Amino acid sequence: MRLRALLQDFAKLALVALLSVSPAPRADEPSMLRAVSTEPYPETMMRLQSAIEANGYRFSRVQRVDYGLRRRGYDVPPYRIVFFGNPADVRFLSVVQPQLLPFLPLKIIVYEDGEKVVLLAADPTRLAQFFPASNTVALFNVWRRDIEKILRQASQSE
Amino acid sequence: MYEVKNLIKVSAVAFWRIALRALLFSIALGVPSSFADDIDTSPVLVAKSPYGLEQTIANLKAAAEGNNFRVIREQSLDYGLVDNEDENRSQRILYFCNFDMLHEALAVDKRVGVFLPCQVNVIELDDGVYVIAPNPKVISMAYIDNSELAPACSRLQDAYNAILEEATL
Repeated sequence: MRLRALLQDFAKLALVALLSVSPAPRADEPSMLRAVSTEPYPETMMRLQSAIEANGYRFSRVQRVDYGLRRRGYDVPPYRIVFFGNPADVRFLSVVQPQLLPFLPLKIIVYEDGEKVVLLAADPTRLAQFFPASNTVALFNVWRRDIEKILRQASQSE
Repeated sequence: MYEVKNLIKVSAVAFWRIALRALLFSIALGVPSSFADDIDTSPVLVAKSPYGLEQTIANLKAAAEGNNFRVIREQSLDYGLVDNEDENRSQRILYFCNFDMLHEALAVDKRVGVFLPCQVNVIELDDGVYVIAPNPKVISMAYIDNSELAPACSRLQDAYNAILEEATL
């Protein structure tokens, strides 16, 4: 039984070592994923929450950055951070790459810029330059695809 | 004689098992001997805490406040992603903010919000408690090509280092 556990550890170790030498993807990709909503701010926030859940993620919470700043005397337009994620991703990275945990949950910021409502997220695939293992890169690609879909769905009118 | 041999065999297996686990976690976390070693290239700042999880969080709160930040929230990493009773309390996030610095950064570039608010993760593993934070200077350079942000990011990086060091000393 102990020998079996030992072999399992060897296998995990070999996997981590093998994946850590995988080549990094190109670094000239766009760094931000962006969409401009055709709806007013409150409707955009509601559409964003629905889009997050429609794409298999769980909405965690909203950080009202504008509210915090206003309480301290700064007059700023709406600016919020929407946190969301997938518990399976948290569990996976906890084992495979704990250094990536500070980048979870995923975030989309929503702010007013003049007449426009902008939705913005950091492109997860940019992290591949720091975390080039193929299994984490595959996860970054999934996140990017899903965030692009979420932004598209949240920003477009029916 | 058989028992002695068996004991040696079991001890050896146990030793290698512990050693391999330690090595596995070290590789996975990439923990440097000092988190300042990779400060200009590492996407995260990492420190191993000599304290337990709750004490480390208390230390971090005090250190953040001591460095002119306001602690705005403490939660499990998977808060909102799982039911409350299923949250993993061995992985926590401490969020904090310096509102003057925040306002200044947002005035320069609204995109900085994708890295907000300031945070430190506290993770309990088999071999101890680790404190991990995104490295603001390295991450902002990778994502936002705006030289006007550089001074603020350098100050933030210094603050993160001070907070991590004070909390884990």
